[in-house]
Amino acid sequence: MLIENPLNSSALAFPVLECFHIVGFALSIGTVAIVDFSLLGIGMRHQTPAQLSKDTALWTLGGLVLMLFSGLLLFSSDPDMYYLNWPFLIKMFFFVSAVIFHYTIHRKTVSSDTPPANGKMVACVSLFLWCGVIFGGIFIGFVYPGLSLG
Amino acid sequence: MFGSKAEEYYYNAFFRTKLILLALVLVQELVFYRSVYANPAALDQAPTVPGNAKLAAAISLLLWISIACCGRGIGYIEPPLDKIHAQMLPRSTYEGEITICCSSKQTP
Repeated sequence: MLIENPLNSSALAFPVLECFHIVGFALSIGTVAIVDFSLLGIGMRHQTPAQLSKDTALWTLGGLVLMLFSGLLLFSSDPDMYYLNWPFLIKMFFFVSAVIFHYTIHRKTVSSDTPPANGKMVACVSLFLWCGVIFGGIFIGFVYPGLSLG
Repeated sequence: MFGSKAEEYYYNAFFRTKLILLALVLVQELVFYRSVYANPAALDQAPTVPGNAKLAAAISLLLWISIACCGRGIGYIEPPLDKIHAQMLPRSTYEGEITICCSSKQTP
């Protein structure tokens, strides 16, 4: 028996979900960027990266959860298309790398009160990975049908 | 980006809403400038965040999230440029052309 995804029965469901997706990554990537810019010494000079990270960690996580779950629902609307779409695959590569990097090396670097020598390098890598996620996401809609199965 | 399809964006309802909301952000900043934004040190010293500062923050957040959502909507609608162009032709010149054509037909 073929079960219709209820998401596809309403034309409004996808755009509304996209709005939640955007708010989610605005929150998570925005707060990560604040910490990274502070590691780079650009702005936010009244607080150390460690303090900023502590203050924003919950918002980053909340944004990530919102982004992830709205993203899963968006994916479910047309899984075959996404699976064959190379910007989507690039986005997933960057996303998994960014999340792993954020909760390992990035967290370790940021949690020390005095920024370590490789702080700027870590900030650059973090910004690069998150920007990769956004760039991949933008191009999903411009490439269709994506990879050919033949 | 606007320059690439200026006319389509111009007639796009979501794009127009987005610009109006962007203008409202400026209005919001000006309205709350004196009471909230001009003196951030006073906010730090206050025991609790004052009501008007909370109101300013809530309006600002609402406006910016709405702007993001309107931006998402832009791609989903396509203004009927053909119809718009047809309506834009001034009726008087249109009718004038017909009468000229008919009168010239009758003269020979």
